[in-house]
Amino acid sequence: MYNFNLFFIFPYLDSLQWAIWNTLQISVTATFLSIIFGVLMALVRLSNYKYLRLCGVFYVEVVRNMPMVVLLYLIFFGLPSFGIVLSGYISGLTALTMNSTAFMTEIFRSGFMAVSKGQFEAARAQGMTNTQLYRFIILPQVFRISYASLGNQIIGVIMGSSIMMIATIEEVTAWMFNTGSINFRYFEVFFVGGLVYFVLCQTVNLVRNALGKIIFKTAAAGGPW
Amino acid sequence: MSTEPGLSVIQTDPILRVDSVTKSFGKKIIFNNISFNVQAGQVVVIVGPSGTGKSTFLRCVNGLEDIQSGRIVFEGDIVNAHSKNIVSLRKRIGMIFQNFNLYPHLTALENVTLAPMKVLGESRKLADERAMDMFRKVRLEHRASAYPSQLSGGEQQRVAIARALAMNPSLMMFDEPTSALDPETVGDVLAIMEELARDGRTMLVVTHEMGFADHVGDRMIFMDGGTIIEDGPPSELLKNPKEKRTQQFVNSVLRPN
Ligand SMILES: Nc1ncnc2c1ncn2[C@@H]1O[C@H](COP(=O)(O)OP(=O)(O)OP(=O)(O)O)[C@@H](O)[C@H]1O
Ligand SMILES: [Mg+2]
Repeated sequence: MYNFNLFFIFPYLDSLQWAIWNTLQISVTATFLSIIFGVLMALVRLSNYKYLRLCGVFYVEVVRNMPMVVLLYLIFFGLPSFGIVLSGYISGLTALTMNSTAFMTEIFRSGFMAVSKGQFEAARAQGMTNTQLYRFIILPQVFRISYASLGNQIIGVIMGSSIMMIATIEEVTAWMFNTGSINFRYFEVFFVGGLVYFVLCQTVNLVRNALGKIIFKTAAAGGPW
Repeated sequence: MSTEPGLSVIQTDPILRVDSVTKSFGKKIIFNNISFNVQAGQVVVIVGPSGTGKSTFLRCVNGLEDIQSGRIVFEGDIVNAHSKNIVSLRKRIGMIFQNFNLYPHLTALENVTLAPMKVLGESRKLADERAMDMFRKVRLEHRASAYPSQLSGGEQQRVAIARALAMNPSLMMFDEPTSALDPETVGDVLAIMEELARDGRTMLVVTHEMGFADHVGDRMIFMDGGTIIEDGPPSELLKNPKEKRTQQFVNSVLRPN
């Protein structure tokens, strides 16, 4: 019988903290970047110029239909063949951001499409410039519409960060393998690692809900939506 | 320059000049060679069957659509949908839509104050004060903090009127402002429009409300098939239309079967 005992993890809590920090750091950065790129790529996909639009489609379809591991291998192990050597962290961040951007693009694209044409017209008719129009009228509505899917994608990024050990990043999954190979208590190690992911993702959900209520003043609070 | 019937002898420059304007989408011509002038203070009502291009025409006036030939001159400036100065021109033209198009993420008050603050650069304090004046004008001062989704259609349209008024435009355009409203609330909106007319606002109104046109309009333009069929005092067009098509249209609107 396997003797399940979490005490075996205690000596590795310091390194776990460090691993959680690394998971968070790369996830938050990739989320942030992919939101910005996702909004821009959504605009590219909705552009009036056919070829620009096609570039957007090409990017999204290629990246979305390829496992992120492949993307990471291409960047970390493939690019050096062309003389492009990126650090582990930059390779990982690039793969995670590129992957997430493809999904964010689709999320924001449907957000933009859900804003009625009348909103653009009303704002233009009032003399707003394109910048003002997007900043004050369109983007707030797009973010409101996309908010729920955005939360799912952030969780997707945290999940995706679990392959970053391939690029030698010391995140939570890397900690599991490293620690397991030292103390051979694989079950406890994977159990704790899984728990960490669960808590991280659940926190994202809770924070997203709470924040949503504040930002968007949901119908229950007498708000608009 | 032609003298409009029923105008004072002192002829000022028209606020809006439409010279042989043609609009097409691709090969499809929407209207062809349309000309007329609007004098300051006039209420001009545009009527016509569905799909004649009335909405498209209003959208050409503030450059939401470009035109293919002819010229639109507003307060001495040529309207060019593709030029940079179109933005500064639009500040001076208020537009009211059939579907209100209020900003759903902003309160009624914020809907009214946003453009004055961001486009005209007013301070929040001034914009708030002026917005409350506008809310009094449309009799909605008690609803200023509501969101559009919490307002009835009639209330939303009155907020939209307040939003346009807050920019203090020299021309107000209405595109079927009461077509999406319940019959009970149509009167509220028309009453406010009548008040604006009495205040001396220049208005260009697309509507099917013949009572309003007759009562408030200084002039009526009947459009059909991409041209202006008749242009004159509303009572004339309604009671003694010269053209057969005007007759048919007036009959169909006044006595729907
Ligand atoms: N962006 C566009 N591209 C192509 N055709 C258009 C476009 N916008 C409008 N049209 C066409 O132009 C014509 C005039 O439309 P418009 O909405 O101006 O008519 P309208 O007189 O306002 O009608 P209604 O009384 O139903 O509002 C219609 O046949 C419409 O299909
Ligand atoms: Mg119309």
